[in-house]
Amino acid sequence: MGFLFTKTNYTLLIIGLFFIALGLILMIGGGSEDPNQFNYEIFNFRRLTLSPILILIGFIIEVFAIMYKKK
Amino acid sequence: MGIFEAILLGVIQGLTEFLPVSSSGHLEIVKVIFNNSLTKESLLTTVVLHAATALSTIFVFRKDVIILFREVPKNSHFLLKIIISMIPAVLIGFFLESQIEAFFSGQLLLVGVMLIITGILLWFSDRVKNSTNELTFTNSLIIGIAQAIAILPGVSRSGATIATSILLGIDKKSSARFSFLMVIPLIFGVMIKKILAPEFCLEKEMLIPLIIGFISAFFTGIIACKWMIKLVQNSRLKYFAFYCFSVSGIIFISYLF
Repeated sequence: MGFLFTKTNYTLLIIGLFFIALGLILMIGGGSEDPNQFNYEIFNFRRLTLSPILILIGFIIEVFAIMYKKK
Repeated sequence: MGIFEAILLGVIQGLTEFLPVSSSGHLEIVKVIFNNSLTKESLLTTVVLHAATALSTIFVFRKDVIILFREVPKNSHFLLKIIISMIPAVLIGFFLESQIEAFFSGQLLLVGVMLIITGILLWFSDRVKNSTNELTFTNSLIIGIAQAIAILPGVSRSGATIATSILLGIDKKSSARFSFLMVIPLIFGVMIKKILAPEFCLEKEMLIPLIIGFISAFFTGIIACKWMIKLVQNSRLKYFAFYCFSVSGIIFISYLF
């Protein structure tokens, strides 16, 4: 019985996971140390736009990695 | 959230997404038992774990998904049936989800009643002998309504949709297949909506547990999904009906004393 996935599938799976991890890393922070002080960093571009997009790209790559089949 | 808790949450998500036991119902029970302290998982955790089980479904049904998208004109009717089945849940999700959550949160007695309904559905679907009907557009809508009702805590999504489908006369294998395929676009839709909403705040310590939870939910989901398909085919859903009846019995007894 052969392997379920080819090398390309595994490579794509790792790339997808890398994108998800990168998105999560970029999402870190934004909280306020002092509850009485508002931290405007919570609404910055990195955390609000870039990071979710990278996570979504990661999930799309994971779907592609599962479905990819060499013709 | 520590590593162990992440693995546990992943396993729970993986099992309850596919087995007909209602994850939201159990969450309400856990909330009441532990006074809400164990279930303070973030929205991001929920999104990541749901995405993992959606990927498990794609993994198990990857051949079907590939065929569906490679031969779209040939499978246009099936794809349209999936879209039709999504309509009731999308409407409820957009217009009533927050009201339902606010109204039913902490209502353990209601969870008990809904678990009995889930149990009855599973019990009767197991007794259906010959189910050979085709999946029609009307049937897809009825199964979709069952899916929308499953937003209520205590009603299992997989249980309600598979049981409804079998009771409509559709064969057991196709019922399980349709139930799991119909939810994939819905989960990804909800995921995109939630992940693009500015509600996330991630602590540094959460990063590794989140990735471990994702991997744990993905692999548990694959096992649970394959297991559920076998259970449906071999008419073993009655055991889950007994389980639902037992849990609701415990809920009712705890209310009496």
